[in-house]
Amino acid sequence: MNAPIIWIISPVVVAILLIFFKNKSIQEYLYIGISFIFSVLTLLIRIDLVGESGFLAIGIPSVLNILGRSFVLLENDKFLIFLVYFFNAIWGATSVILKKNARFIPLGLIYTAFLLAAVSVEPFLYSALIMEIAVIMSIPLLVDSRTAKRSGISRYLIFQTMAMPFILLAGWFLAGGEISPVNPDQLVQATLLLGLGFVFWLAIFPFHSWVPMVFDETDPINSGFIFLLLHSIYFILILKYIDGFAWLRTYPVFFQALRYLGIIMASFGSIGLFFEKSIRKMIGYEFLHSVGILLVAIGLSATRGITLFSYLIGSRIISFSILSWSVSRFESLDVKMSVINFRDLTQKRPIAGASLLFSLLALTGMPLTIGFPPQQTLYQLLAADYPTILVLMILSNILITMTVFKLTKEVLRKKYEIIYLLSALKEELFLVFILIIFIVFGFFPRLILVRFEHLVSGFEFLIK
Amino acid sequence: MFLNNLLIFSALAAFGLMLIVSDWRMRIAGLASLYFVGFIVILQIWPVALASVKLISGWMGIALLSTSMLNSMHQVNDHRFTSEIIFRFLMTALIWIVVAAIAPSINEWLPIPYTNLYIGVSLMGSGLIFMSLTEDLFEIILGLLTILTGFDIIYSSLEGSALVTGIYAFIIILICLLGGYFSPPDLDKEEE
Repeated sequence: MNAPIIWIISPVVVAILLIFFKNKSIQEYLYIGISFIFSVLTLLIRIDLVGESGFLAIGIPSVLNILGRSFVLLENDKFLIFLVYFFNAIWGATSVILKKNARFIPLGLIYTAFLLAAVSVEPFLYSALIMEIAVIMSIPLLVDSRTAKRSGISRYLIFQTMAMPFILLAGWFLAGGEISPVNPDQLVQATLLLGLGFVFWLAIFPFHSWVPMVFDETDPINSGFIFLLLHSIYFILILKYIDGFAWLRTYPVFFQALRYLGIIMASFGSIGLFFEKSIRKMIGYEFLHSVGILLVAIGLSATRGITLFSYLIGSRIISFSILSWSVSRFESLDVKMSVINFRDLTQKRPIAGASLLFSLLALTGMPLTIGFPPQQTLYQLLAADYPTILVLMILSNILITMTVFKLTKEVLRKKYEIIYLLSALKEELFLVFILIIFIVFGFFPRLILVRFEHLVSGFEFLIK
Repeated sequence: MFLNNLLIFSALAAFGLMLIVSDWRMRIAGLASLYFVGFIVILQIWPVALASVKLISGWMGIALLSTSMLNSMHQVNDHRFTSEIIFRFLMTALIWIVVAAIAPSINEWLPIPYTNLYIGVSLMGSGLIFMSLTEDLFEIILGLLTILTGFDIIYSSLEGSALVTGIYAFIIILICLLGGYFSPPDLDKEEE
């Protein structure tokens, strides 16, 4: 028994067994329970520390060898493993409570296992291949086979597949260049190939068009689950590349490119969100905005932005999850999901409306939200060295805040009947509970965000 | 030399068939021929056992695609205008000419046999054109498979890892399964 067998192979086996359960409810409860068990196992099991096992702790090796290559999950990776399986459990539970019949149950466990396999494969340049499998697997989890609207899905498949050749070729260029590149020409070629691969992976301009389209074509409970996990893993892989290659860490052009691409994405996302009428597409644009902000954080430099990145990704995973759940809550209503109808939507689902507005504010980094401390630190670091990027980022966040005000104005156009709110409180107890926790996180953000530092603790050359 | 030229011509002819005809069966036949040409090219570098993984996985994928298309209510047999066919062919021919012009420069980056490089890059470019001129998912899948075949020829010339070969074969089959997933069965046909 070793770590990859527990957290990569076993979930695949469990998911396959779950398919045979005809009763959807049992399938859902087992999915939630098993995901939770996989996350709790990270607290009980110690990897490669056999001699130091404490109370209830079991020691296991970290390596699984397959066809001459290794899958390695280290002690430092345990927080990531905990996070992805806890994410599975929470999203599964939410889909059950919101009665959403989510498509990611039970195959989401296989998807998650492939994502972890991509992070753990050694040499890590092969991760592009495993990510491609995860992407292909994610498509049936996003849409039904009979869906009419699938241009976004087609583009998603095309652009993600295009990334794989670039990353693999970059890997070949860099083989043996972990310490120093062979010559300057190769450095430029490898960076170019790697950069193109990242651009396709993260849906960076001009390959971003699929993001709002896919969000429009799918239920947010499915798209949120798939893309939050996928892009978080992409960012972890990018950090792994930066950590793995000494020359890349010291190549200023690479970080400059990340900053510029990041601010372009943040601006695109916020402009799109401001002018968009479809609420589903708005989440897509917010997603692009978040990707941009995370890229800027990594682009600050190899060492400075890394801890900040962990806080930012933590706050964004939480806020974006609540944003997706609240929009998904509107789905069951017989009202068109448009900004123009936001008043009607909020009239019937007031708590979902409040959660949507509050999560958008958290994503812009408003005070007293979980997004405030990391966003504030990002502003401070940008103000010291890159004032132009700072101005653009503030403008992009102002645009999103204005969108929130625009939506609030829509709600306040008509007097709200208190009776609706009282009945909604009963129906939406879950969202009320989530919203209260979310607000509490806003008052004590460090309580939760410091945990996300473990996400990057394995990058020994980036944490100084 | 003769074999190399023959391989290049066969690859372009097989793709040309996919490009020009409207019948999905002929297109699938074109793709199967592409996999065979790819197999012959890779056979010159790799042992038969490993090279045949490429051929078998490709043909398995094609069998999956064909089975789903046979039962599908959506069979891409639309009539095409002659002007469209000519446009598509000329676009692809342009790609082949551009690749012929830039292949020596790319060969400085990638030290692999010229035949492999030309076939690989041409197929990647042609697949991209094929895919970008349509909104039909079946055609997109065919385009993607063409791109991946082209890349496979290039990458196999650079590296020969068993794990990569296995995962790559799995990806090809998954993409074909996806094509089948989006070709729902014709219920009327099933009832008959």
